[in-house]
Amino acid sequence: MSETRTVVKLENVTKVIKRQTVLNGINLDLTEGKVYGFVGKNASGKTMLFRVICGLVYPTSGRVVVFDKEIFKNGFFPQGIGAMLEQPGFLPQYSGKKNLKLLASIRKLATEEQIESCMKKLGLDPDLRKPVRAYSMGMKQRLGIAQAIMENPKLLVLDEPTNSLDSEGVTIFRNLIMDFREEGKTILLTSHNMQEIEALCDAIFHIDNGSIISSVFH
Amino acid sequence: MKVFAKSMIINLASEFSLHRLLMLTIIFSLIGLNTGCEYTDFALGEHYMPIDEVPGNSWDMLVMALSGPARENLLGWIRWFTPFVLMVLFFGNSARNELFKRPELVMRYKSRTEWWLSKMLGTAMAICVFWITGFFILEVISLLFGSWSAGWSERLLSGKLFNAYQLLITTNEWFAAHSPYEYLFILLILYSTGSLAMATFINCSTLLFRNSYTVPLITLLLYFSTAHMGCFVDRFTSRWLPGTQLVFARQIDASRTILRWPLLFNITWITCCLFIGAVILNRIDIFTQKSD
Repeated sequence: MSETRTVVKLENVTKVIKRQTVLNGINLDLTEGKVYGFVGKNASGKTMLFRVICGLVYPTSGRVVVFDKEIFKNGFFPQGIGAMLEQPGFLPQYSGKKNLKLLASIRKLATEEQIESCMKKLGLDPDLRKPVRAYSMGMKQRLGIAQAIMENPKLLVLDEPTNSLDSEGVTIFRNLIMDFREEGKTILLTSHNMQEIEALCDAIFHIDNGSIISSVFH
Repeated sequence: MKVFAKSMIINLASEFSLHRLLMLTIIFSLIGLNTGCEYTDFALGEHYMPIDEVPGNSWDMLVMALSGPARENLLGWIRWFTPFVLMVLFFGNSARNELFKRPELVMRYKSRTEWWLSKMLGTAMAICVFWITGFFILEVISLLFGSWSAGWSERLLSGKLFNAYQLLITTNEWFAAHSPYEYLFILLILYSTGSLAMATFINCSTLLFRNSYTVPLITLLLYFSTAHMGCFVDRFTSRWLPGTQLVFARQIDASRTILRWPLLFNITWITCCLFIGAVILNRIDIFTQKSD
């Protein structure tokens, strides 16, 4: 039997901002090929946790290890992550495809065909010339998911990905997550929709006041 | 290096919009029209210069508009200073905006430092494009008031232009030794490095204070007051003031170093801001207060 590899490891991670503890002693060991759901009320610390994992926020104390590399105060971002945190900020004057092409040009990990394929998977027309400023909220959300997956990352971090999506969009998203899991990728996501989380996730963590108060493994 | 080259394209694409191009065209057109009107008024007014005796051309207006503030001429000062305000408006807050509103882009770089250097390199290119476009618009507008010529006008070379418009330039020797194209090239380097020094300082400060308005206002005040002091009050200390490095007239009138000193000053300033910016960036958290 092959050993499952740890993708994300958090050891006693605490984050204090302006004397307020937003993450409190978080311990996590997330392995590859699983879908992890994080639920909790507003301002419970879900997004902050994702930002710590992505290397955008430094923990006040504790260790964060992503793909066997510790995120510390060296300013390096963990590689191999596709993320969508809150509403992505696209350049409003350009089309969806042009935005994705600009983002992809930094790492050069996605070809034009891959970008078009991702857009199609999410129900977006790659040939649509409409600028992003004219997109609906749902279309922007789909584009946000497309930018997160287009480089075929090993770890996907999605903060409330189904917000503003219609029922068709939610179905597309669910299928996409299933496909990613089958490919052995790790997915972290948050949602306020408990049904959705239960349907998709292998493990669910409840966060309240910056602490994990319960965890359920399927 | 490829990352930096790619990032320049991204930054130019990010900074470009039709709305900005329109603003730039309007501002530089107004500056050109105002300078042209002043040029015509002076020629017909108390500083009458018979056109046949000392003919002018379109370069006269370009020199008038770009050489720096004129003595006792508030309008001339505003005319010179406005493009720098526009430049701050366009590029002063670009790093902060990208950092806090587009984390998915920032995360695609290997490190925060790589993103910061790429961003500032892109800003430098955008600033060059800003000034080249501005110069072009000014020259086009100048053609409404003066004829096209490949060289300087007799009016400028005779020194009468500087006397008539009370510009800070008191010498015409420099112009006799340089062509209009050399002048534009030197001006581009001077303005671009000066503007980049201003932009890196503001971007660096906004990372630290996370404030969109206070820092640019303080910076503008700093440059305004130092340029004013450097031009009108104390010429010796002006070498050490940041604002005066942008005044072309100041460079040939007092120090005559033209590019050497301001370049050294601006590059030192930019290097310090880049270093401090990288240090700040590696210590801050990248998130907005709205995070869940």
